Amino acid sequence: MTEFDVRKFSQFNNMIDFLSNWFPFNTSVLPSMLKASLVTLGMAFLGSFAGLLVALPVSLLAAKNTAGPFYGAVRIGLSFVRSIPEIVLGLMFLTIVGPGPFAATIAIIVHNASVLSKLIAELIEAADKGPQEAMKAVGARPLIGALFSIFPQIWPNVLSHYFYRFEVAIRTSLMLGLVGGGGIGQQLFVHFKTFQYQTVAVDVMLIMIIVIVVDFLGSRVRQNVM
Amino acid sequence: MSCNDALLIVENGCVRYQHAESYALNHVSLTFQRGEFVCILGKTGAGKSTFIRTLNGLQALTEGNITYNGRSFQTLDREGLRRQRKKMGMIFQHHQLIPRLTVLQNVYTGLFGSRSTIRNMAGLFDESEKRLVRDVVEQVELLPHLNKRVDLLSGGQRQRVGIARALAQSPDVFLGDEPVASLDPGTANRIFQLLRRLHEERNLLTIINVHDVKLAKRYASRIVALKEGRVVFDDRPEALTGEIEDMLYES
Ligand SMILES: Nc1ncnc2c1ncn2[C@@H]1O[C@H](COP(=O)(O)OP(=O)(O)OP(=O)(O)O)[C@@H](O)[C@H]1O
Ligand SMILES: [Mg+2]
Repeated sequence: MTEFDVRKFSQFNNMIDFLSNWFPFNTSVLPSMLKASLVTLGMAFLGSFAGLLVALPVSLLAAKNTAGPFYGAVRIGLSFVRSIPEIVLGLMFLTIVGPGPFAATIAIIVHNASVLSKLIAELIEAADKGPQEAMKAVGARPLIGALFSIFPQIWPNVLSHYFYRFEVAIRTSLMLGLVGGGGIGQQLFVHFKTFQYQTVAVDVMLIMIIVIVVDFLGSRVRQNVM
Repeated sequence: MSCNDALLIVENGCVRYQHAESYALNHVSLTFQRGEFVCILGKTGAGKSTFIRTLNGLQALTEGNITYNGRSFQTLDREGLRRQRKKMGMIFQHHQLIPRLTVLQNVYTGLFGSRSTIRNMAGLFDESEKRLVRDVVEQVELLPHLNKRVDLLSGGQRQRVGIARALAQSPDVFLGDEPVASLDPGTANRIFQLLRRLHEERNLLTIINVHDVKLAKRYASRIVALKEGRVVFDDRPEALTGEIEDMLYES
């Protein structure tokens, strides 16, 4: 099905030929590619962070213990949005608002809002009931009770989910770059198509650095909030 | 005392949980006055928690009625119940503090019932509220730990935070659901001394579940015993004989 065929690897020296084209690195593009990397980083950060901001209130409506009468509708709506692949969302917004990072960012926001809403709703449902009952007992209004008794306990997990989504959003924004969403992903695609392999090498290196750095920061943050 | 002094009245209170075959609380009628320090006894499953939770409406009665401060719970909607409840402080066996928040922050939540949502959200507290919170923290002797996270405190200290939170409500009634059940005897005694002192200073009505008969005899002014959801004893501690005790705890 995947056309797997070991014989295709027999042309191994082709690969070496191909990789040798990557050297020497075209360092003259470094400044502008750095800028493109920042755009990608920005898309991923803004997209996932705005997604988190949307998800926080929505998750309260999507958790059984805090939801109002619209629990079912909210859950179904979230599943629906979540089932749309990000690339489809990206293509959709690219046609609506035109090519560039803006469309890609909106796609990332929409997707992450729906994913984080579900994840946070599950944390809310699993939160210790004791403090929630205590807030009821002091006569706090339901919203205040939920905010203060649930969020402090789940906050480390929320951040941990958020950082994971941020890491994923970087990969997504690279991919959305390929279809015209801007950033280093788009540059990589263009350089590849125009056979500028020495520039491709710079792009790939920058992408690897971003992923590693964000990964590292994510694990640091996760450790510190516990 | 005349009936007019009654602060909390339970009439024919019944609770039957969904799918349960028998009553968790079976036609209980009791009248409580300000100044009474009541301990509720009964073996496990007797209905103590159910009873205490009906008193502030955390658990609704399935039959019967509760009147607090002259207001019948039956006539109240959710918001009305909430307003009644804010003057009833409650402490729990597992203290049910908010983890990761400090002592101070936890005690502040005791004020939530009497303040607007906006002020609670924004964390705005005026001078008199700040003083009140400090005072109650001082009364439970936790000033040195004011800014410590509650998850870092000992069991006895946590229970004192729970008491401070309830005190911050400026309550008329203090309810306790086995507040010392997870503490060692010495600490349990000190918590009861503290409760007794606060009770007298503020002339409260205090109603507490305990499973330790000795504690009840030592601190209560009145003991109510439940068995299978029914009141089987209601008198002064001296009247609780060994025979009645045996009857209470026999299986
Ligand atoms: N939420 C519930 N749903 C169904 N049955 C319940 C529920 N809570 C308690 N019960 C039942 O009601 C009866 C009284 O329970 P309750 O918790 O009030 O007893 P208790 O005296 O507090 O016991 P313990 O000393 O173990 O805390 C028990 O038979 C119990 O199984
Ligand atoms: Mg109990």
